[in-house]
Amino acid sequence: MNDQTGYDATIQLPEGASTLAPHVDSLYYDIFWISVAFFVAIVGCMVWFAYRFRRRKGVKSKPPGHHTALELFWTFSPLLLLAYMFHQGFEGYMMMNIPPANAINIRAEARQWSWSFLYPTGKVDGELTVPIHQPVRMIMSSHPRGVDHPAVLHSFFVPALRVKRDIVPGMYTSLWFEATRLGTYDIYCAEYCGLDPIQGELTDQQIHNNGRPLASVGHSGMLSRLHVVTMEEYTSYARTGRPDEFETNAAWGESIFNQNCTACHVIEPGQAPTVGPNLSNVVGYEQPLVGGTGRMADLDYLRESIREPQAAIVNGFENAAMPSFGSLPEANIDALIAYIASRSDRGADLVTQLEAEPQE
Amino acid sequence: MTTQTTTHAAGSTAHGHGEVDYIRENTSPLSWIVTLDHKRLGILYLVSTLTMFMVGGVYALLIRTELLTPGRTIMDPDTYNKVFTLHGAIMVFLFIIPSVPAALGNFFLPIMLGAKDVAFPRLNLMSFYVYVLGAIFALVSIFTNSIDTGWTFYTPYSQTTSTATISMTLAVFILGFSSILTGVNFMATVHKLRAPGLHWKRLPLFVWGIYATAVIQVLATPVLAITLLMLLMEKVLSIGWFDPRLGGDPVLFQHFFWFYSHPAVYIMILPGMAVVNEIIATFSRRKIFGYMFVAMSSVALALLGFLVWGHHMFVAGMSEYATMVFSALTFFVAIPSGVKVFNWVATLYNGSVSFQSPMLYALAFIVLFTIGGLTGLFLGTLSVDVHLHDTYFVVAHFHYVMVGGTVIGFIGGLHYWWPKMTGKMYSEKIARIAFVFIFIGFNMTFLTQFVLGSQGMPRRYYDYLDHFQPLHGFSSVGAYVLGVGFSIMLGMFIYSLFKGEKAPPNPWGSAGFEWATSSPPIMHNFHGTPVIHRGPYDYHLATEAELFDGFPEDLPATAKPAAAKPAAKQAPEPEPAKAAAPAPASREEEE
Repeated sequence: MNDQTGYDATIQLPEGASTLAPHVDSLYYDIFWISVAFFVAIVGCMVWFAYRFRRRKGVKSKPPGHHTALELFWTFSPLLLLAYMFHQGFEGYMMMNIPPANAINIRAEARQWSWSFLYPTGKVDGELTVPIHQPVRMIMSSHPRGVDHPAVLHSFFVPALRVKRDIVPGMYTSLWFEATRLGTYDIYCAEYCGLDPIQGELTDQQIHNNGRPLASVGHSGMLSRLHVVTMEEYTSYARTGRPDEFETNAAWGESIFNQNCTACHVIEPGQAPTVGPNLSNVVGYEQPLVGGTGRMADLDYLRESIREPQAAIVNGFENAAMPSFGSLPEANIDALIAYIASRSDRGADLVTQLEAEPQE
Repeated sequence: MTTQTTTHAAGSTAHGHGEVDYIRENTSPLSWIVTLDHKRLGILYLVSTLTMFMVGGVYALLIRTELLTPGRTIMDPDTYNKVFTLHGAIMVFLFIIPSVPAALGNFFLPIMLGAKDVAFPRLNLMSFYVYVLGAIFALVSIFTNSIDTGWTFYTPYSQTTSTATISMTLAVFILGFSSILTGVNFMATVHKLRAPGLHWKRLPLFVWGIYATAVIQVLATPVLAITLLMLLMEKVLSIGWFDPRLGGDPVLFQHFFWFYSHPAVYIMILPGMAVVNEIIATFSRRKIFGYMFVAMSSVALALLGFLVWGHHMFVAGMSEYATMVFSALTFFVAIPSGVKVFNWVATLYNGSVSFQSPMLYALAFIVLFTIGGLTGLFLGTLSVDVHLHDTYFVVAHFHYVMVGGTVIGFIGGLHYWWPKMTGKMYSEKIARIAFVFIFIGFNMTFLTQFVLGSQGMPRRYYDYLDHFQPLHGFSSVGAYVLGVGFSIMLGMFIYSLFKGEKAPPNPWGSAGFEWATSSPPIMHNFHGTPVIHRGPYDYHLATEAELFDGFPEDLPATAKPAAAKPAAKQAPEPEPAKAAAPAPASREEEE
């Protein structure tokens, strides 16, 4: 079932990991070689004629020629090749636009500058995980980031799948694909979606980390990852509640953290904060807030900060513009907080409390 | 050559040395500011568009420098977004659109028609000042609070960002009127002011190209004006056209915008092609092969340009059948484009080809435009476009057409007509050195970007994943080479203005009409009304005197026109025998 038919990147095209890729790539290379042939013929003739008929003393240009048959030939004969390209392209395009009946639906919500993927099971994640050899239909919508930041255009682009579709405020758009190769691939936003105009000064760590742009740079930081896994792995992944491979809520929370939070937060003691605050040794400590007040980082404050990040912002991060993660299921938020608490020297009690809480 | 026959003889002797060229006619600054002379307005446009080209070029180098390495290189993301927007907006609206038609077109269209001036000289002056006003609006919005929406002003982002969208859209709105007025003026000029004997089948192809451009300018630009007004109404009065929160549709804006901006692509490329026609004919001493096919292909491109706007929106959420129609129509654009390229190459055959710098640019145009055109096939093909849309592949494609095409055509034309416009020659050696830098630098910059794009690098990215770095770095180095090339060229032209040798009337030995008058041309272009006896590319009908590339007084005695027509002081004369040429001067054709 999991026999992979994807292939590696070539000089011109990235690795192919979907059923659409072979179609797009073979047509791409058809057009490429047709173009090369025309280019060589045109430029070859040009260079040859220019050299052969270069100006020499006493040799005059011949009077203008006229050749209607030749004109008609090169005016109309390319139509055949053009018709071929058009037909193949349209056929492929229709294939891209008609999802198979057995496709599973995954919702994608795009915001400035993050992605949320909502699975049929109710699971929500910042990265996309899909089973191999299973048609997946993405139903996509654009959402406001806040009152002052209404929804804008985005575009869901996965080069390895050869799919792209704009996400337009006020309408649902969709695309489908069937992944054919296990692995992790990049998801980009391909339609310019700007930047926070009130963005303050950014440090280099807030711009680029681990070889990737971060969300604080706006459009180019609106990245995510696609994980193509086996059907078994997908089923276990998409289940809500704590997956079997995690012994504790804190361990599960670490995985949720790595998928949703590391674009903006670090959690190592002593490390410089990136976009948002460093979350190590936060729980159990009083946090200085914008406006001069302070607040104890307890269970309530952490829940609030995940659901409504703008409600109480830690001093110095007023421009960080964190999106709400309120669409995460309750159990996931608890696990996330358990993990954050486990990274604080004063968090042991909270960890114990959250491990005790029943899942789901 | 506009063979001034009888009228010329009288005019020349009557005026004698009293006729001075348009530069020395009146040297006061005021005479330039309020000039109604098309040549002076052409020069004013040339200076302003070249200034804008330099500003846009500096922005381009800033972009490429920022992209040299991942992460922050020299500027913040906010600054970067403004810089790439201004690069696009300035290059498109303030440089490319007015470059060839307004600068070279103003200068040469009336001369090629044998006219004294354009049909409406005052309107011409007005459109220049409308352009200046638009440019001021644009500069104000740059220096106050520049925009970061991309040159396309896509909604809803352009409605939410707090930057100076209003002043920039007003600037573009105003610039559009300059474009419309120039277009109307040129159309009237071509229809009404052709010299006796200059019927449509003898029109220089430059005129055909500028004429087709003018038609698009007049028909398409109002749509842009309407769109930008709607944008302003929505922003200021909250009337919901495009904003879904007010009941509007963001995709509607894209339809409106591209309904203008796609024809605008042809406003940009047709004049470049028009220039290349003239250069190729002159430097291969041969009539453009398939003259009528080439002329009609300009008209066909102008018309097809109106029908293909949807190919910018294949992944924007249009219906599948709309995309099908737009894809099919898009492929038809390849036909007239191909016709032009094939005919240019065929013109070289049996020619007498020389390789001075204008011709190098014209040949480079063929190479680069061919690449630009062929890569358009990838983007017209629906399923392949889905992968390539909004990536660097598109960036590379339109830079091959706009820079490799229009800009190369424009500076080729500048090299070609520089002696005529200024009366000065430039250093051919330095011109060739600059050409090598420009050609190599351009290909390094943009050939690389095709690969970046097909590998999946999206456009308008301030920062990128590390694995794209080698290609981005190479592309940036290419941009520096390109920048060096343009700087050398600019320095060469400025040096030529002050220290250049005096140019003869016809330094390239061309049979084109504009070379018949002195360099620089006299105020009224010609002594009296010229009467046209042959086409602008009829080298087999032109006399040795007409094609003589030195100063008239150095003309070998054998080539001197017969004593019957002795007035060959201002311009080489046709041989009397030529009166027997197949197409006698006649007014029977409609004028």
